[in-house]
Parts: sequence; structure tokens; C-alpha cells
Amino acid sequence: MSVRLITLTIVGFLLGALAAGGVGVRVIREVRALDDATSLPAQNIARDDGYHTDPTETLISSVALVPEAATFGDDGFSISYEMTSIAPTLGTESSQDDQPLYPKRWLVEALGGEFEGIQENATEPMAVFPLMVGGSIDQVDAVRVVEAFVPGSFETPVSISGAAPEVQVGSGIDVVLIGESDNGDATTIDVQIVADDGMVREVQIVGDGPGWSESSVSGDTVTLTRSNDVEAAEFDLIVFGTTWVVIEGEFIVNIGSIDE
Amino acid sequence: MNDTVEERADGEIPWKPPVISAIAGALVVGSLVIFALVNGPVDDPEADALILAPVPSLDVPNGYTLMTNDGDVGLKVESMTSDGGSSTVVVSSAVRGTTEPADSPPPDVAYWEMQSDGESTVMDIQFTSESAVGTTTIVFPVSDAASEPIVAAYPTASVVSESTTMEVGPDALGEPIAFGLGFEPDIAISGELVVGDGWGTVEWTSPDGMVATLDVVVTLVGTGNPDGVSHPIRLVPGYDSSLAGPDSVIVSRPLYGFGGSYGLYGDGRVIADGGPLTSIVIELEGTVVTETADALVLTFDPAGD
Repeated sequence: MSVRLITLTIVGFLLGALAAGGVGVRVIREVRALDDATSLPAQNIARDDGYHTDPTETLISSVALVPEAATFGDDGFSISYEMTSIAPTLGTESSQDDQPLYPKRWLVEALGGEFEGIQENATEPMAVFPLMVGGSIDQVDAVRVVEAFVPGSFETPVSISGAAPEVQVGSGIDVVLIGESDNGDATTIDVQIVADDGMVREVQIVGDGPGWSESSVSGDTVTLTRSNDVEAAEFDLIVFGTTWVVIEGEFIVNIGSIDE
Repeated sequence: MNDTVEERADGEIPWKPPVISAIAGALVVGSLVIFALVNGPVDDPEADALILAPVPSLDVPNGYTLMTNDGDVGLKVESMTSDGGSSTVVVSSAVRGTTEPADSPPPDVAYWEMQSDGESTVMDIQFTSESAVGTTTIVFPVSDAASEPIVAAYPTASVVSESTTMEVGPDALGEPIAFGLGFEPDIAISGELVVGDGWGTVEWTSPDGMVATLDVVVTLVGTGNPDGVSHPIRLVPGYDSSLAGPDSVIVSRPLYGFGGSYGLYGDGRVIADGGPLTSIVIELEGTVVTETADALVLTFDPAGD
């Protein structure tokens, strides 16, 4: 076999390999592109559009807020909305009636100015902008929630007595001893809960330390009974419950769901 | 074709061997291409590390960080306040896009740590309530936390539960009763309870510094109605659903802690209402976290971005 023949054979082998390699690379790229298009990476198996209840939702804390309607009138502008909590609740007894968020202060940019709005109480999902008169949804440039609250739990030990019947618990909550009766074996007390600024969601009281039986509640008053085996002038209690806790930040509200 | 040798001899190219060789080369490379397609890309540990590294995920909304023991739940610090000798942090939880909130349990965190001004401080207590949907409150013994502290959650990875029953005589009424709950090999919950006439108190701690929960139920044996209509007096924690009369005050079940104290409540009856106390039966059930998952580091962004 001549040198020339060997050289030509090697060149032929390389040319064949290169040609097949070129076609092969192209085929591999096509197949991988098809794979990428039909299977997402593992971390994106959830909705890749990110919303939980509606494409026009606004997420504030763990709550999806979706505006429902806007009203324009001589007495101002108002926005009503729906909220859906996306907090995990398996095994809890949380109520759907519990408001998961209190978006208290709002701001609207419209008609060349800014208008402040407020939601008067946590349970009525509507923000009112009294100074914004007239207009239409087309003239609203932006809506923001500028002060929002989430529910936060608290537990506070207090001591109360006939000599000091009123105690400030904090967060705008006072407890007041309004009744005390001794039936021989035990003493029953009535404690009134005073929390009137709308920022308290729930307050309850139980006895702290020895001698206490189950407590019961009626309206804003909790009745507690302590065995007279315990000799103490003061009644040690634990006040617990939930208040609205301010969260930081401003939140641009998507108003795409509003039909005028 | 008998004249091939003569043709080569006079300078013409010998096509046959190079063509066969080219076909052979194409077959070899083609086989490699098919092998590559069937077996997929070669595993590259470095590339795997990049994929596994925490990266922002579009389906985790609003700045939440996914739990390391439950990839469907994320956590976010919402508020931090310092008051007196403590700092209180409120953390909210949210599920991922396709997860139904009612099908996902709340975050299971053994304990929390705050890193502020270079110091790490372990929580005093964590708690939540049914009316605080999706939030956990954590209290740290930090009097003046930095404005932007780092909070680390240590999710539970494994737990062990143990239960035992003790019985003591009626003369133990009103006296401190020591108890212990062992977990192999040496993890324990120990404490003291006082059982009174229709009431009780419990205090416990973990000498090994483990986080745990402890449930206690006490039965005052013999105190039922002599005619057998009523059961003996039972004393249960304030979070026990058996207390749930129409007006009963129910507290929230404690989350994991390094210790705890709480009251045991009855239904208002006292021993004199029924038969004489013959013994006190104490049922203890404890759960100890034996292993935590990787810490989840949460930063507090006061700007809310």
C-alpha cells in the first residue's frame, strides 16, 4: 500500500467523521431544544405566571388582593376588593371570616394629583378617597397601599387587684377589674377588656398560676374563678390575642380587574 | 475493474479505499452521536451544584424564602420591634403558586435565632394563634436589635415522641410533683406540676437544651359522681379542645420551645362535688426535636422591597 493511498484513506476517514459530526451536532441541538420546550426545570413546576387567585392580583404579605369595583361620585372615589390568604392552614382552625390583612391607608394618582384614601375598619374591604371627586377609571394612573397591617399574636402577663383595678396591656388594650365575688371556696372576678381603636383583633384572658379554673367570655367581659386555697390579693392573669401589626413598604395595586 | 492496478500506476486517484474509509468514519461518529442522544448529557457535578444553589424562583411570590423542610411553604419577616428588654419579630408564611393553602401545614420551625450587630441570640418563645392567620410571633431577649437584623429559622427535620403515665396518692394534692420523660439515649424533659382541687399548673424544661412540646392531662380518680353518671374531674391544658364550651376561653397550642409553663383547667367541679379522691393519674406526652434542617436565613427589609 503506497503512502499516497494511506494518506487518502486517512483523509477520507476524517472527512466522513467531520460530516457525520456536523449533522450529529445539529440533531443533538434540535432534540435538546424540543426537550426544553416541553419540560420546565424542576423549580418552575408551579405556575410560572406567579399569581395565586387572579392575574390581576396584588400580593401583600401572604394575601392576594384583587380590586373588584371602583365607584366615582360627588362624595368621593372608592375601591372595593377581595382578599385571599395564601398562608398554609392545614390542621388549624382558622376561619375564612378572619381578615388576613388590613390595608388601611391608600394613595391614588389621578387627575394630575394625589389623593389619600383610608379603609375605616379591618372588616370592611373598601378604601374611600373623599377628596377625589368625579373622574373615571381611565383617569387613574396608579393606586398604592401605603400602610398595611397583618395579624400578630401577643401574650402579656398582668396582675390586677381591687387596689389597682385597671392595667394597660399595650397595643391600645386595657383590662379593668369590674367585679369580684367570694363564694367561700373560690373567688370569681369579672374583667372587662377595653380596646377601642380598631387595631385589636381579638383579646382573651386566662388565669396565670395556681388555683384557676376554666375562664369564660361574654361580650367584652371575661369571668375567671380562682380557688380560695390561693391566698393572694392580686390576680395574676395572661392577656393574649391578636393585634394588627404594621408591615413596612408600599404596594402598587393592580387595578386591571376593575371594569368601570 | 481488472485494470485498477494499472490505473493507479499511471497516476489516477485510487477512490475505493478513501471512500470506504470516509464511510467508516461517518459510521463511527454517527454511532457516538446516537449514543449521546440516548444517554443524555454527561453528569457534571459542578453544573449540578449550580442548579442546587438557592436561586430566586419566580413562583415564590413577594420575597418569600422557601422552607428547607417543606418546599411548598415560604417565610418572610414582616415586622420587627424592640420594646423594653426584648425584640419581637412577626414572620408570615405563604404557599407556592400551585399549592392549596388548606392542604399545606403551617411552617414547622424548631427554633429561631436573631443575628444583630454580630451577636447571635436564640429565641425566648415563639407563638401563634388561630386568629393570626399565617403569622408567627417570635420574642428574642434582645433589648435593642439592629434596624435590619438577620433572622434564622431552624426547621424541624426529625422528632421523637414519648409518653408515660404516673399515679400518685391523694396526699399529693396541692404539693409539687416532679416528673421526667426520657428519650433514648439521654434526651429528657423534666419539670414539676401542682395539682389542686379542680386546677393544676405545669412547668417544664429540657436539661439538654432541646426544643420540645409537652402535653399533660390529669385525672382526679374517684371524684366522679357516685352514681356513675359523671366522670372523674379531668384537668387539661388551656388549648385542649375538650374545654370548648360555648363560652370557654381557649388558648393556642404552644409551638416548640426550650421549656414552658401553663395552667391545667377543669370544668368547674371540685372534689367535694363527687366521690372522694383516691389517686391522681398524670399522663405526659412529649415531643423532642432531635434534628433540624438547614437554617433558613431571612433578612428584614424595612423598605418592604
